Amino acid sequence: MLELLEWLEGTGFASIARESLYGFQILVAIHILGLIFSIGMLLWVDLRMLGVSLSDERLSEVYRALSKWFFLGFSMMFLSGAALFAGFATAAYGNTYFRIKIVVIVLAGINAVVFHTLVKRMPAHIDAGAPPKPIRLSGMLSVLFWSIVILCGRLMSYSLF
Amino acid sequence: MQQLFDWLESTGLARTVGESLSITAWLSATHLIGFTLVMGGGLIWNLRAAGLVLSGAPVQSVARPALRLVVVGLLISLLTGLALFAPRASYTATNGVFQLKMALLLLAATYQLMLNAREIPRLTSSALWLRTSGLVGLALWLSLAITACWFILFE
Repeated sequence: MLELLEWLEGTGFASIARESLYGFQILVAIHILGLIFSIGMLLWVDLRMLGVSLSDERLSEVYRALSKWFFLGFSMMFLSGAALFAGFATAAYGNTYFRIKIVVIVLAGINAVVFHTLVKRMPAHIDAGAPPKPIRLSGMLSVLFWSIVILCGRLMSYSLF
Repeated sequence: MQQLFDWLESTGLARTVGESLSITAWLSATHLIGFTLVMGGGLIWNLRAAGLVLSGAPVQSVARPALRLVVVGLLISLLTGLALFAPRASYTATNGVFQLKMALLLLAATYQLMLNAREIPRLTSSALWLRTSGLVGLALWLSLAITACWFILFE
């Protein structure tokens, strides 16, 4: 694993984050902007899943309307995150907050897939009404997971550099 | 003003935060969560006003929860921000990027509060006004986000 990470750090892609004059700052800025955009928008789907906001709108409609915005944010976050990881792969790999962050991102991804499956099977009256327990649980987990991702991301920057 | 900053720097809070990287890191992380809530509220309200999301939903049904989220986010951001500001108050207050960040925050929050309280009925009667108010709001919040990133990275 360590050899793979060292090879990654030696690639041209990695040097953008590590060696260019403002590459690191620009990548971190894109990463934070992507995070604010993606999680700030996804939060509205989560709040609708919890039944606390936008309750007059169909859950599937809220998801459809906001998904392109939070996917745009996630794309910014993941691409800049990949470039930042490549630049500091060995240090990041050994960082506890980074490991927690990656595990929680995977859990959030699984939760999103489960939610997607639930929404597809949802009868129309549930889509428009109060969300059932599994949907509320999925919304609560999403808020929890993404809060942990933000916390670990910021804590990582204080313990890595 | 300098006396206020000197007093702030001499408080127990400033000393505790200033001497602990761990507390600073946790405050900074919580500050980012608060800021994400603020931005989440500001973005959805203005995206809706600009007609870019949920255009079938009544504006007020989006604006009210958005305002609540902005207020909750602001409370978290201001409390954690004050604790982060305290140890280096004199230095940070003279920083141009910090001043720009605070000015944009004040402008964006005031703009949003005024629109929510007074202007919604008038704005919703004209699609052009509503769209324009959304685009102005988006410009303000995005400028704030970019300035906040700039402050984190270059200072």
